Parts: sequence; C-alpha cells; structure tokens
Amino acid sequence: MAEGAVRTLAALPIGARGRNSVGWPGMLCLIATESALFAYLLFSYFFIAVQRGPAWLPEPHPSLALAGPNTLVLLVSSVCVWWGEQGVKHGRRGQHLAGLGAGILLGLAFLVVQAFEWKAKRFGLDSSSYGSLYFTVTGFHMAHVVVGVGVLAVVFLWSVLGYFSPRHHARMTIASAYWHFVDVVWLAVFSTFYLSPYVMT
Amino acid sequence: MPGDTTSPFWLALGLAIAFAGALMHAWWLAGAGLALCAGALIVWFWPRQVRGAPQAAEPIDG
Repeated sequence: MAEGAVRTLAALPIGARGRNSVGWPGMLCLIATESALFAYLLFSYFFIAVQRGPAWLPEPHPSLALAGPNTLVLLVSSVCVWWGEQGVKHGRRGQHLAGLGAGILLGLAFLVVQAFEWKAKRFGLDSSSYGSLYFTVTGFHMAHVVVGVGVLAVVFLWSVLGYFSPRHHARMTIASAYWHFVDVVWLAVFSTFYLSPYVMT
Repeated sequence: MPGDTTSPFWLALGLAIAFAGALMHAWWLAGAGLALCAGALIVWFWPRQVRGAPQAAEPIDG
C-alpha cells in the first residue's frame, strides 16, 4: 500500500512549466498594481495640466533630443529580450544569451541617457508641481528599470549556469513579462511628459 | 508547493531596515536594507531540484 503510494507520488509532475508556474500569476498581479501606481501618477499630471493650462508647463516644447532616441533604446531592448526568450524556448542557447545580454546592456544605456536627461533639466523636484511630477514619475520608472535590469542580470546568470531548458524556463518568461511592462510604461510616461505638451500648446 | 526557507524573514528585515534608513535620511542604511532585500529574493528564487523527484534530466523551476 505504502509502496504503491510512493510509486504514485513519483509519477506526479515534477515542476510547473511556463505559465503554469505560481510566479506567473504573481507577476501579473504585480504588473496590475504597478500599472495602477503609474495610472494615478499620470492622472495627477493631466488633472493639473487641464486646470492650469499651457502656462503651467515650464518647457512648452520639451526637447526630444535625448528622450526620443532613449525611447527607441528601450523598445529595442524589449525586442532583444523577446528574441532571447524565443531562443530558450527553441533550445538555441546562443540566441538566448545574446538576446538577454543585449537587453541588459540597452537597459543600462537607457539609465545613463536618462541621467543626462535629468541633468539637462532647468527645473528641480521642488521647483513647481510640474517639476515634482516629472521627477517623481520618471524616477519611479527609473527605479523599475533598475529592478528590471537586476532581474534580467540574475536570469542571465542562471542561464549561464544552465538552469533553463526548452521545457523549463518560467523565470525567463516572468522576467521578460516584467521588462515588457517597464517598456510599455515608458511609452505612457514619454507620451505624457514629452509629446502631450506639443498637443496642449 | 515551495519548500521551507528563511528568505521571507530576511526580505522583511531588509525592507524594515530600508524604510528605517529612509526615515532617518541615512541613505547608506536604506541602501544596505535594499541590498539585503535583493539578496533574499535571489536566494528565494534560486532554481533548485525538487528533493525526491524522479531523476529529472533538467533543473526544475516554478
């Protein structure tokens, strides 16, 4: 009897795969809560902008010289991470590591360029409500990018150690979902702070 | 089900230290707390073989 029970146990599945992993709904919940956070922050921007009008903006036409290419950098990094995920799914280790590595490097590049963008601003966190919102929202986003780069770096390490396979790569899928979320949030932040002033004025 | 681990304790301790550091404007302490959080999460999520699993040919995750 007991022997039979042990045999049955041994025949059970030995680990969740892909989106059956408990981490997947966990990541979806995290994305939902973080989306709400950014939605509230961006709502604050539009609420004040509508009330105050175009005169509220310290720079009616924000420069896109750094932010525009930086947006492209983040979009390309997302594509690289997706390509890397396809690599692990199809057992192409080189593609997996190259995509993931490129995604990490582009994420770091985004942070560096964003630091220059911050430095170029003529207003500060305590200059005005616009300044507070700008640095709070972009700061929150930068914090998410820092976390995302850290997560991708750990996943890269696990990949180098050979912990993933075409059947078991839930951590890669989960990390990839977070990185795409960070990318989509930036599109909303970029459209709000860099593109909407052109429409409002 | 996930196995036994002390990682949530270290994560909670790291968060407490990070917030205490931020409240006291001791940014080095806040940074140390966040580093402890990161370490606890990495250890917690580290892929492990399931003990007693039938000779898995590849690491298990989930």
